Amino acid sequence: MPEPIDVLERARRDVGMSMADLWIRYFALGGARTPIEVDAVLNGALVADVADRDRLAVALNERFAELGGDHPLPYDGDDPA
Amino acid sequence: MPITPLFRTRRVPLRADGRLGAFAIRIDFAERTVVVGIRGELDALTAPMVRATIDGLEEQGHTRITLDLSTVTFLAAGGLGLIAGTAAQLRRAGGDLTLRSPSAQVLRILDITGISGRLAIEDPGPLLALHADLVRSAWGPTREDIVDDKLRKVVTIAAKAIVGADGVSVSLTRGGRVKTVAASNDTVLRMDDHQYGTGEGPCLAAAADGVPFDIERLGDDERWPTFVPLAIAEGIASILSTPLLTDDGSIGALNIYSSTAGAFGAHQRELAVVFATHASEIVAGADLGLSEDELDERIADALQSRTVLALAQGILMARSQVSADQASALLHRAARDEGTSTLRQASEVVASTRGPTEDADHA
Repeated sequence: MPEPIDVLERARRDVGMSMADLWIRYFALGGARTPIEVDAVLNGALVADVADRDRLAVALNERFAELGGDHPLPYDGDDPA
Repeated sequence: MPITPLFRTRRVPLRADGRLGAFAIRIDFAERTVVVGIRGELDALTAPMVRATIDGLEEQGHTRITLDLSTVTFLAAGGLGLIAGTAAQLRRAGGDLTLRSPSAQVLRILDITGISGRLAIEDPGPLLALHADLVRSAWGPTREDIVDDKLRKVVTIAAKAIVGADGVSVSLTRGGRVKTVAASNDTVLRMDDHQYGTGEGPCLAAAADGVPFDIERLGDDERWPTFVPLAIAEGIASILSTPLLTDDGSIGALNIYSSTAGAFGAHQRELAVVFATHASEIVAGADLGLSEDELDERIADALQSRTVLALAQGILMARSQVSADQASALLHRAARDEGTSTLRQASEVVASTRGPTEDADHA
């Protein structure tokens, strides 16, 4: 499988989260896009606004944190490291 | 408490002039509450009618009232005053007010004004229920008999989502033969059949070879001399067949047909891959690994979390004069900085507004 373009999709694979689990977490964070749209965002077929990208990043970061890790994904407006 | 018939319904007819014509109040006497359903705009003009209805109910001894907001199209200040005033009035009478199914927009207004925090809110709005249905359909437990059903949903959504598509189908290799398990209309069903009948065509090729076939102009294609004339006779000019890939290789194809030549560009090809991936996950039995009950529980938790977040968002918006998105960003950052979750952070914000008034009541 080719290397995914989107940093969110790479993180999802790194943390071993299913698309379904990610969507439920994103939804719990107030996201309003459908499961298929979220899939499309992660595969680069759809562009999400910054608020939705932040929700996806939070969902993934919180999973990284649950596993004892850091918060690797930046949020919109963070100073570039 | 006077004896009232259960589920009696009364429509209150109103003047049929333009805007008010769309307004209606419906009363249903349920077992433990009286449901007052409102349709239309709830504002300074219509709120007094609702108020009069509720006053009437209270006089009859009904102090547990549910306001059904599922068909409220607009909530103005007058409507807010009604809700806040009614809640206080019913509480004084020993009863309470519950709000049912506010739309996301109405919920947002209630959150911002802090009213939602003082009321019980029932039922997710229609949008949330739709999402819950979608996730159940996409990732609910996979039983053999419902796989085809899920694939039918995929082709229906794909046919709507892919611009230029006149029809979408999913074909699967089952028992050594390729067959169509879901088709968005009869033409695409016949298109698939022509390929099985002639033993050639892009759908069969994509399923067999595991690579996509993008036929921009059917008339120019020389690979499938028997199939192509049949397709043109059906009015089809371009076809995009995308293989369904699993770890075990190709298991079928997602086929998109169009009556326009060159209908599919890069965007459509990408979307086709997204839908094909979904279809193959469904067939491969990809799900959350949860029972239906567990899935319902996760969705219920998610809905609960959304409510808490929306409340916290509203509080921060009022407190810090920020937009909804800025309020979310504040919660996300605070959670990260304090090494906690966004939900916990939001719960703390909500909890921080409780206190003085309740303490005074207990004193």
